[in-house]
Amino acid sequence: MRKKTHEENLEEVKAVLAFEGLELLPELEELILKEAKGEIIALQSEEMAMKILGLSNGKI
Amino acid sequence: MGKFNQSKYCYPNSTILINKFDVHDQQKLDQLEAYYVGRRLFQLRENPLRGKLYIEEQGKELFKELKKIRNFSHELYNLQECTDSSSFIEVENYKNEYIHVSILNSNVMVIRDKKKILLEGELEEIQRFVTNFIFN
Repeated sequence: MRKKTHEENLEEVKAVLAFEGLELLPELEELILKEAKGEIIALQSEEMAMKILGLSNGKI
Repeated sequence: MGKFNQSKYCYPNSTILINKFDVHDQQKLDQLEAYYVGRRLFQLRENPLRGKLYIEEQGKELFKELKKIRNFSHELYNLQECTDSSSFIEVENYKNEYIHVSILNSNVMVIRDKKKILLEGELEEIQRFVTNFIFN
């Protein structure tokens, strides 16, 4: 069976989130994909997400 | 104007749940939730774990994640107090079946296939059901 692409998996995730009334910002989608492709690490992804959302504390 | 029913689990004069990020803006909180939940769902889809180990690891992953972002039980109790929340928890078992645990109209519900309500009731009952779903 063909392995799903990152983009296809993300589309499925977005559908699940949409069902619950949540929407992933395009910039945050990009971060998730970048992390999946190894372009950034998890910590960078979280830090950048905080920056995009204008949050400063960065606590998890 | 009607009397505002302040919940002790929400920030003063709002219906926004007190959260670890100290975000007072519901829209931002939703976006943050979408990011963290979406990211983990994505990772589980990219790297599903299989077999017996899968079940155990899945359970660990789930509870680790639930603890990290929000304390699962505490959150469920909190959400019961805050009626306008749209938070949910998605649970997958080793058979690739999904259920949602949602809070709608102050009721906790377990939903399968995004429409069929399996259980609607007390938190302890819901937690027991979800645990059985994962490990059975």
